[in-house]
Amino acid sequence: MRDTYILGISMNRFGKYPDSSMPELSYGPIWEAIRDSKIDPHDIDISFVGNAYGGLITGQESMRGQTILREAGIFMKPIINVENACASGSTAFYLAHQAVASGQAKLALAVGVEKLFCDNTGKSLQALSTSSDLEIEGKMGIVFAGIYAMRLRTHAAKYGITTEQMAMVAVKNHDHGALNQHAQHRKRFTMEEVLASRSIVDPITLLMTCPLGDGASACLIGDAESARQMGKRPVRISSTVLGSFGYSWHDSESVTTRVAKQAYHEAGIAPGDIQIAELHDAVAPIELFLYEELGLCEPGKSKDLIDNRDVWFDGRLPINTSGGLTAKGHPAGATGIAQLAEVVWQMRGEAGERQVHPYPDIGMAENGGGNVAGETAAVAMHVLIAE
Amino acid sequence: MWKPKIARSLAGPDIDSLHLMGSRCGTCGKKYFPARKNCPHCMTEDTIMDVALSDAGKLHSFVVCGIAPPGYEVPHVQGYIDLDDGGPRIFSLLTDYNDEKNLKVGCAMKLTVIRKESGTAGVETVEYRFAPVESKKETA
Ligand SMILES: [Zn+2]
Repeated sequence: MRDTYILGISMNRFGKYPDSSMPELSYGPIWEAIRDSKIDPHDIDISFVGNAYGGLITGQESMRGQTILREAGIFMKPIINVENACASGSTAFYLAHQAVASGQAKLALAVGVEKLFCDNTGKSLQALSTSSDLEIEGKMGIVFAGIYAMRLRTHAAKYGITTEQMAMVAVKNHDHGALNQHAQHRKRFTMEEVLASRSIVDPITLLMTCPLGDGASACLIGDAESARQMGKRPVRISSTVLGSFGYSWHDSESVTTRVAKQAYHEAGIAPGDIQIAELHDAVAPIELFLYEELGLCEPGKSKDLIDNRDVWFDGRLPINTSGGLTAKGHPAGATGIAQLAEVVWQMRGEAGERQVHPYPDIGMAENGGGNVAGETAAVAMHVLIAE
Repeated sequence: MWKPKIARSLAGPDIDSLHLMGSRCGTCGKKYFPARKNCPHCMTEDTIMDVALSDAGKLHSFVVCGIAPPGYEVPHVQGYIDLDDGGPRIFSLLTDYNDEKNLKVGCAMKLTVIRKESGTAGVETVEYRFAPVESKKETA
């Protein structure tokens, strides 16, 4: 396997685009990624297009990637449609990396896109609820927010995490979103405002959840030679790991922990080496749980990272400097590559007002999706190292 | 006639005496719910068998939701139950708790089977729920 690099990467501002189709949403990010890469787009050998709910929302089935790349003007070469719940985008990235690493392709394109807004919010929510096993958990009446709430409640009871500490994670992510021109929500909130917003499922309030959104992201992956020609700081994909649910046995290791351990191992680093991370904060306070699952702190110590403001963009271990899913938004299929965009921009010093100093050299992104047998259905984790 | 809403989740001689159905692997001893065709740990069909799971357990975690999927009532109360006799941790909606104060992590829970019309004449759909063993009403 040869080394792979992120050449160009881009996303549009996530939000509500009632007049844009998925091909229209994707056009800008794809071409910005091409221009960022300094490559000849004729040389793209293979494309992977990640999307989760477009078929249910728009009715376009079975070849959405082709309709998206038709608009972009990319044709003839293999186009592979990728669907993996909210991890669809990072799964497309994983496959594009594999294509280049194996030598199959010299240049691979990964696209992530989602259009969740339509004229019927009920239809959008119904589409999201299909990311569970409809024959089993779906028939049990599972509510996703409730699953997160139970995880949080159990964890908070065990380690004495307060609702104020949970709210501060949302405060942090909204602080970051306010500094990010790509974020759907660009407004700061106080802890009191987060706690006073409408309760969704105790302890989760509205301002801790991510909004419904439309958006797209794109990334070109190439070899070392292409990275040298691109002219910007080369960012190497040190490891990219995709894992799936396990049959968890009470307190056995979660899929997230399993995937993280493998990603650190393959990258040859320890969790303590991570200098910046984008995490899948489907509800803001679940970040606390993730810090521990990913080994970014000792069990029970996640609240200290919030109390000490370590995880703000100017702190010791900046996390979700993009605003995370909470503020940047979560157009499912677009999220995975958008997370990587933030890490790359921070490494290249292109993150504007929220820029981390000194520019980070080692970063990671973690993206999860769906629910099967009581576990996250798919988890992707990528470790990036800037040279 | 009756039919479980979730395939292979409930079994019994008649609709009034249903129990939770699962599988146990004779090699690794793990139990699964609902029942399944193989043991995914041992990757074999040879040692898996259908078993009755305990109808009792302890509440591992729960939450009262103000939102519910279509067709369910609010409050929508969901939880995880650790079944007795080394059973698996299963997801269940909670019912007959009278007052939320009767729901406590670790409290004893028991199976309740609910019956609904299936839409087919003469066939009832059966679903499982869990209720606290102690469910005193709040005295005014
Ligand atoms: Zn077994």
